[in-house]
Amino acid sequence: MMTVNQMNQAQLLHWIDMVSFAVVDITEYLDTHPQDEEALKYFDHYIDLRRSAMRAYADKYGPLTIDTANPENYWTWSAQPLPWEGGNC
Amino acid sequence: MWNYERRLQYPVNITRPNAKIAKIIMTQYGGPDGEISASMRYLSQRYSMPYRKVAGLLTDIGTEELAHMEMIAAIVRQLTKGLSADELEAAGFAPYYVDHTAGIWPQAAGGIPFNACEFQSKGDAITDLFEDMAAEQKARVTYDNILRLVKDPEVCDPIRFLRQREIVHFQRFGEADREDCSK
Amino acid sequence: MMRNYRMPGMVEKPCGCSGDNRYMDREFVPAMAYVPWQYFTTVYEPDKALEIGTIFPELDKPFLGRGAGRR
Repeated sequence: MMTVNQMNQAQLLHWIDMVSFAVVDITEYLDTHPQDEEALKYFDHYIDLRRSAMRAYADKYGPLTIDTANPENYWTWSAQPLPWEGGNC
Repeated sequence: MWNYERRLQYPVNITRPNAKIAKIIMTQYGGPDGEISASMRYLSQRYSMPYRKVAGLLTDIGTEELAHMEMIAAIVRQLTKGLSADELEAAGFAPYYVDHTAGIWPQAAGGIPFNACEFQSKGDAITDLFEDMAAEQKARVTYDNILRLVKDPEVCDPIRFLRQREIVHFQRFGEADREDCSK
Repeated sequence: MMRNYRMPGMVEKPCGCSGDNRYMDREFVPAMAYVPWQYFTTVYEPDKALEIGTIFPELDKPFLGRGAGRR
């Protein structure tokens, strides 16, 4: 399996979509099953993968969230493509 | 409150504009069983929900529905972008076009604007959860109908994803109702 | 004249309300609706889960109408 550093932009975005979706589905499950140990382990695993992937994406291609924005000498946040343009789809 | 991510929950990449389909899909943006309706329903109900876990679930699912609203808008936008007034008129899109051009505005496929009469926030825990389960079934049927009417695989792909999410949400609201009953 | 009709198994509770003990040990009571609990057992791999729309195989209920098929 590729590491996040080996992925190109489209591959990394697809990876982020996958691990983030796993987080969403398990979050809603945990909302009604708060003590399910398997589910808690699954959450821990995927939230970690998501954090690294979001950081890697922000470093190489620009931030997807305000928390991963790290502008140096130019405000890039509002200049990023919007996802319905086809840029991030 | 909300932060957001600059990506769609599931990708939307439509290469063939088609205003006829857009008119149908738009119903899941501003229609009675669409994603805005779902989102406003759950996000409104959470304030009076006496069980914190259920209010939390309403917030999580209500937020996901905002992401779905965005996907539907992206689908409609990509289906109508770049079409001329003549092409839109030929597709039966003229009544929408005259008021909104190719902008995105929440209405049902039949033209009724989105309005709060399309959902209820009754302030009663059991009632609100049954309202939510019904809403998820209504949304699922609407997606079934879209899949019967629309054959373009680029459109059907995100639509099938959205339909599956309704089934999962129905299950979660059903479980929340059990949690509620057992207290 | 009003009579208290008693079904078999009905008991007179100390509070005076007539309890039907057919339901006393049961989780399910009339005038309510219930969805069965779903549990985390197996899950789809993340790429398949995203494509389908859930990580849970038991919640995977695709549209099987005419002309619809999964890619």
